[in-house]
Amino acid sequence: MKTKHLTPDDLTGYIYRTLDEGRREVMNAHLVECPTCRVSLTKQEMRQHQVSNELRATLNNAAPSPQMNFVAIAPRLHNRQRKQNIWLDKVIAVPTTSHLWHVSF
Amino acid sequence: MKNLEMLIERWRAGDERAAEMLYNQHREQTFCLAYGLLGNAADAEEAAQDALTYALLHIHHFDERRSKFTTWLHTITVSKSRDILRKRHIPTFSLTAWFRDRQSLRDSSPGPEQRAAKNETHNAVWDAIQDLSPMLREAAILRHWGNLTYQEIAEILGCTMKTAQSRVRLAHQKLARILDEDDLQQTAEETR
Repeated sequence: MKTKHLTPDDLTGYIYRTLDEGRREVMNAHLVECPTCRVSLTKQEMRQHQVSNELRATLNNAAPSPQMNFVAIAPRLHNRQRKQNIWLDKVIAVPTTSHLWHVSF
Repeated sequence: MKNLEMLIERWRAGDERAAEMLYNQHREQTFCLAYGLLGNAADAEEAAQDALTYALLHIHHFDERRSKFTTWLHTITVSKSRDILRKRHIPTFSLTAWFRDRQSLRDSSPGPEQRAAKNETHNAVWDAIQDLSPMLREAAILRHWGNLTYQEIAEILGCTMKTAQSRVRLAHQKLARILDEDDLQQTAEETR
Protein backbone atom coordinates (compact mmCIF):
# COMPACT_ATOMS: atom_id res chain seq x y z
CA MET A 1 0.00 0.00 0.00
CA LYS A 2 1.39 3.36 -1.05
CA THR A 3 1.21 5.98 1.75
CA LYS A 4 2.16 9.67 1.85
CA HIS A 5 5.78 10.62 2.52
CA LEU A 6 6.76 11.21 6.13
CA THR A 7 6.66 14.81 7.35
CA PRO A 8 9.61 16.58 9.06
CA ASP A 9 7.66 16.21 12.34
CA ASP A 10 7.39 12.45 11.78
CA LEU A 11 11.10 12.15 11.03
CA THR A 12 12.27 14.16 14.03
CA GLY A 13 9.75 12.38 16.26
CA TYR A 14 11.15 9.08 15.02
CA ILE A 15 14.83 9.85 15.61
CA TYR A 16 14.22 11.55 18.97
CA ARG A 17 11.93 8.69 20.06
CA THR A 18 8.99 10.90 20.99
CA LEU A 19 6.35 8.94 19.05
CA ASP A 20 4.02 6.36 20.53
CA GLU A 21 4.55 2.73 19.55
CA GLY A 22 1.55 2.66 17.17
CA ARG A 23 2.80 5.60 15.12
CA ARG A 24 6.32 4.15 15.11
CA GLU A 25 5.08 0.86 13.69
CA VAL A 26 3.19 2.67 10.90
CA MET A 27 6.36 4.58 10.09
CA ASN A 28 8.49 1.44 10.12
CA ALA A 29 6.12 -0.13 7.59
CA HIS A 30 6.31 2.97 5.38
CA LEU A 31 10.11 3.13 5.60
CA VAL A 32 10.45 -0.44 4.38
CA GLU A 33 8.79 0.44 1.08
CA CYS A 34 9.83 4.10 0.61
CA PRO A 35 13.47 4.77 -0.35
CA THR A 36 12.86 8.55 -0.45
CA CYS A 37 11.85 8.61 3.23
CA ARG A 38 14.71 6.29 4.15
CA VAL A 39 17.13 8.82 2.64
CA SER A 40 15.41 11.69 4.49
CA LEU A 41 15.59 9.75 7.75
CA THR A 42 19.29 8.96 7.32
CA LYS A 43 19.96 12.63 6.58
CA GLN A 44 18.15 13.72 9.74
CA GLU A 45 19.99 11.11 11.81
CA MET A 46 23.30 12.40 10.48
CA ARG A 47 22.30 15.95 11.41
CA GLN A 48 21.37 14.77 14.91
CA HIS A 49 24.79 13.14 15.37
CA GLN A 50 26.57 16.15 13.90
CA VAL A 51 24.81 18.53 16.32
CA SER A 52 25.44 16.27 19.34
CA ASN A 53 29.10 15.62 18.54
CA GLU A 54 30.04 19.15 17.57
CA LEU A 55 28.16 20.76 20.43
CA ARG A 56 29.74 18.41 22.97
CA ALA A 57 33.18 19.03 21.48
CA THR A 58 32.72 22.82 21.63
CA LEU A 59 31.31 22.89 25.16
CA ASN A 60 33.65 20.31 26.62
CA ASN A 61 36.60 22.32 25.29
CA ALA A 62 35.30 25.52 26.87
CA ALA A 63 36.78 26.24 30.28
CA PRO A 64 36.11 29.03 32.77
CA SER A 65 38.86 31.52 33.56
CA PRO A 66 40.93 31.11 36.77
CA GLN A 67 39.02 34.13 38.18
CA MET A 68 35.95 31.94 38.45
CA ASN A 69 36.84 30.21 41.69
CA PHE A 70 35.52 29.41 45.14
CA VAL A 71 37.42 32.27 46.80
CA ALA A 72 35.34 34.74 44.75
CA ILE A 73 32.06 33.51 46.25
CA ALA A 74 33.27 32.53 49.74
CA PRO A 75 32.48 35.94 51.38
CA ARG A 76 28.80 35.55 50.41
CA LEU A 77 28.74 32.13 52.07
CA HIS A 78 30.39 33.53 55.25
CA ASN A 79 27.68 36.21 55.51
CA ARG A 80 25.02 33.53 55.32
CA GLN A 81 26.63 31.48 58.05
CA ARG A 82 27.02 34.52 60.28
CA LYS A 83 23.34 35.44 59.82
CA GLN A 84 22.30 31.86 60.52
CA ASN A 85 24.34 31.77 63.72
CA ILE A 86 22.79 35.04 64.98
CA TRP A 87 19.33 33.64 64.27
CA LEU A 88 20.12 30.38 66.04
CA ASP A 89 21.49 32.26 69.07
CA LYS A 90 18.18 34.16 69.34
CA VAL A 91 16.09 30.99 69.07
CA ILE A 92 18.12 29.33 71.79
CA ALA A 93 18.26 32.45 73.97
CA VAL A 94 14.51 33.25 74.08
CA PRO A 95 13.21 30.08 75.81
CA THR A 96 16.09 30.17 78.28
CA THR A 97 15.26 33.75 79.37
CA SER A 98 11.51 33.10 79.67
CA HIS A 99 12.23 29.96 81.62
CA LEU A 100 14.33 31.93 84.11
CA TRP A 101 11.56 34.56 84.35
CA HIS A 102 9.04 31.90 85.42
CA VAL A 103 11.44 30.44 87.93
CA SER A 104 12.06 33.79 89.61
CA PHE A 105 8.35 34.33 90.25
CA MET B 1 27.29 9.38 44.64
CA LYS B 2 27.98 8.55 48.27
CA ASN B 3 30.76 11.13 48.18
CA LEU B 4 28.33 13.77 46.86
CA GLU B 5 25.76 13.00 49.56
CA MET B 6 28.45 13.19 52.20
CA LEU B 7 29.66 16.58 50.93
CA ILE B 8 26.10 17.94 50.93
CA GLU B 9 25.58 16.74 54.52
CA ARG B 10 28.89 18.20 55.64
CA TRP B 11 28.11 21.57 54.07
CA ARG B 12 24.66 21.55 55.63
CA ALA B 13 26.40 21.09 58.96
CA GLY B 14 28.54 24.16 58.17
CA ASP B 15 31.80 22.62 56.91
CA GLU B 16 33.10 25.16 54.39
CA ARG B 17 35.72 22.76 53.02
CA ALA B 18 32.81 20.58 51.82
CA ALA B 19 31.25 23.64 50.11
CA GLU B 20 34.54 24.24 48.30
CA MET B 21 34.70 20.63 47.14
CA LEU B 22 31.09 20.76 45.94
CA TYR B 23 31.92 23.98 44.09
CA ASN B 24 35.02 22.49 42.43
CA GLN B 25 33.22 19.30 41.43
CA HIS B 26 30.50 21.26 39.58
CA ARG B 27 32.38 24.36 38.44
CA GLU B 28 33.19 23.31 34.86
CA GLN B 29 29.89 21.57 34.17
CA THR B 30 27.92 24.60 35.36
CA PHE B 31 30.07 26.93 33.26
CA CYS B 32 29.63 24.73 30.14
CA LEU B 33 25.85 24.74 30.48
CA ALA B 34 25.75 28.53 30.96
CA TYR B 35 28.16 28.99 28.04
CA GLY B 36 25.90 26.95 25.80
CA LEU B 37 22.86 28.97 26.86
CA LEU B 38 24.44 32.42 26.69
CA GLY B 39 27.04 32.04 23.93
CA ASN B 40 29.85 34.03 25.55
CA ALA B 41 32.30 33.26 28.32
CA ALA B 42 31.92 36.44 30.40
CA ASP B 43 28.15 36.06 30.76
CA ALA B 44 28.54 32.32 31.31
CA GLU B 45 30.96 32.86 34.20
CA GLU B 46 28.60 35.33 35.83
CA ALA B 47 25.63 32.96 35.48
CA ALA B 48 27.65 29.98 36.71
CA GLN B 49 28.98 31.87 39.75
CA ASP B 50 25.46 33.06 40.59
CA ALA B 51 24.09 29.53 40.20
CA LEU B 52 26.77 27.88 42.33
CA THR B 53 26.46 30.57 45.01
CA TYR B 54 22.67 30.21 45.07
CA ALA B 55 22.91 26.42 45.25
CA LEU B 56 25.37 26.52 48.15
CA LEU B 57 23.40 29.19 50.00
CA HIS B 58 20.15 27.26 49.60
CA ILE B 59 21.51 23.76 50.11
CA HIS B 60 18.81 23.16 52.76
CA HIS B 61 16.18 23.51 50.00
CA PHE B 62 17.67 20.67 47.99
CA ASP B 63 15.60 17.51 48.42
CA GLU B 64 17.50 14.42 47.28
CA ARG B 65 14.25 12.39 47.28
CA ARG B 66 12.80 14.64 44.57
CA SER B 67 15.73 15.11 42.18
CA LYS B 68 19.40 14.54 41.52
CA PHE B 69 21.79 17.27 42.67
CA THR B 70 22.93 17.96 39.09
CA THR B 71 19.32 18.32 37.90
CA TRP B 72 18.66 20.80 40.71
CA LEU B 73 21.86 22.70 39.88
CA HIS B 74 21.02 22.73 36.14
CA THR B 75 17.58 24.20 37.01
CA ILE B 76 19.26 27.02 38.93
CA THR B 77 21.82 27.57 36.12
CA VAL B 78 19.05 27.85 33.50
CA SER B 79 17.22 30.32 35.75
CA LYS B 80 20.34 32.45 36.35
CA SER B 81 21.12 32.42 32.61
CA ARG B 82 17.60 33.61 31.87
CA ASP B 83 18.11 36.44 34.40
CA ILE B 84 21.25 37.55 32.57
CA LEU B 85 19.48 37.47 29.19
CA ARG B 86 16.71 39.65 30.65
CA LYS B 87 19.04 41.99 32.53
CA ARG B 88 21.37 42.68 29.62
CA HIS B 89 18.59 42.91 27.03
CA ILE B 90 20.55 40.64 24.72
CA PRO B 91 18.76 41.05 21.38
CA THR B 92 16.68 38.06 20.38
CA PHE B 93 17.28 38.51 16.66
CA SER B 94 20.21 36.59 15.32
CA LEU B 95 23.40 38.61 15.15
CA THR B 96 25.28 35.84 13.35
CA ALA B 97 22.59 35.58 10.66
CA TRP B 98 22.51 39.37 10.32
CA PHE B 99 26.31 39.49 10.00
CA ARG B 100 26.32 36.64 7.49
CA ASP B 101 23.66 38.35 5.33
CA ARG B 102 25.53 41.64 5.52
CA GLN B 103 28.79 40.01 4.50
CA SER B 104 27.22 38.22 1.54
CA LEU B 105 25.64 41.49 0.36
CA ARG B 106 28.91 43.38 0.66
CA ASP B 107 31.21 40.79 -0.83
CA SER B 108 30.00 37.70 -2.57
CA SER B 109 33.46 36.13 -2.91
CA PRO B 110 34.70 34.82 0.41
CA GLY B 111 38.23 35.52 1.64
CA PRO B 112 40.55 32.84 3.04
CA GLU B 113 39.41 33.42 6.64
CA GLN B 114 35.76 32.99 5.73
CA ARG B 115 36.54 29.83 3.83
CA ALA B 116 38.53 28.46 6.76
CA ALA B 117 35.67 29.26 9.13
CA LYS B 118 33.21 27.57 6.82
CA ASN B 119 35.26 24.42 6.87
CA GLU B 120 34.94 24.10 10.64
CA THR B 121 31.69 22.27 11.10
CA HIS B 122 31.68 22.86 14.82
CA ASN B 123 31.54 26.59 14.19
CA ALA B 124 28.58 26.06 11.90
CA VAL B 125 26.75 24.07 14.58
CA TRP B 126 27.69 26.60 17.26
CA ASP B 127 26.44 29.49 15.11
CA ALA B 128 23.25 27.60 14.36
CA ILE B 129 22.67 26.97 18.08
CA GLN B 130 23.10 30.69 18.78
CA ASP B 131 20.48 31.42 16.11
CA LEU B 132 17.82 29.50 18.06
CA SER B 133 15.39 31.27 20.39
CA PRO B 134 16.46 30.96 24.07
CA MET B 135 13.62 28.49 24.71
CA LEU B 136 14.68 26.10 21.92
CA ARG B 137 18.38 26.58 22.71
CA GLU B 138 17.80 25.45 26.31
CA ALA B 139 16.10 22.26 25.11
CA ALA B 140 18.77 21.55 22.48
CA ILE B 141 21.69 22.07 24.88
CA LEU B 142 20.18 19.90 27.60
CA ARG B 143 19.42 17.12 25.14
CA HIS B 144 22.58 17.12 23.01
CA TRP B 145 25.22 18.21 25.51
CA GLY B 146 23.63 17.05 28.75
CA ASN B 147 22.23 13.85 27.22
CA LEU B 148 19.30 14.20 29.61
CA THR B 149 15.97 12.38 29.47
CA TYR B 150 12.84 14.29 28.48
CA GLN B 151 11.64 13.96 32.07
CA GLU B 152 14.80 15.65 33.35
CA ILE B 153 14.61 18.35 30.66
CA ALA B 154 10.98 19.02 31.61
CA GLU B 155 11.92 19.28 35.28
CA ILE B 156 14.75 21.72 34.56
CA LEU B 157 12.75 23.90 32.17
CA GLY B 158 9.62 23.83 34.32
CA CYS B 159 7.38 22.44 31.60
CA THR B 160 5.56 19.20 30.77
CA MET B 161 7.37 16.27 29.20
CA LYS B 162 5.36 16.73 25.98
CA THR B 163 6.49 20.36 25.78
CA ALA B 164 10.12 19.33 26.37
CA GLN B 165 9.85 16.76 23.55
CA SER B 166 8.26 19.29 21.25
CA ARG B 167 11.00 21.88 21.94
CA VAL B 168 13.75 19.33 21.23
CA ARG B 169 12.08 18.40 17.92
CA LEU B 170 11.53 22.03 16.90
CA ALA B 171 15.13 22.88 17.79
CA HIS B 172 16.36 20.02 15.60
CA GLN B 173 14.21 21.11 12.64
CA LYS B 174 15.45 24.67 12.90
CA LEU B 175 19.10 23.59 13.29
CA ALA B 176 18.82 21.23 10.32
CA ARG B 177 17.36 24.04 8.18
CA ILE B 178 20.18 26.44 9.11
CA LEU B 179 22.88 23.81 8.51
CA ASP B 180 21.31 22.82 5.17
CA GLU B 181 21.42 26.48 4.08
CA ASP B 182 25.04 26.71 5.20
CA ASP B 183 25.91 23.59 3.19
CA LEU B 184 24.17 24.97 0.08
CA GLN B 185 26.00 28.28 0.45
CA GLN B 186 29.31 26.48 0.87
CA THR B 187 28.70 24.33 -2.23
CA ALA B 188 27.79 27.42 -4.25
CA GLU B 189 30.98 29.16 -3.12
CA GLU B 190 33.09 26.16 -4.02
CA THR B 191 31.63 25.82 -7.53
CA ARG B 192 32.03 29.56 -8.23
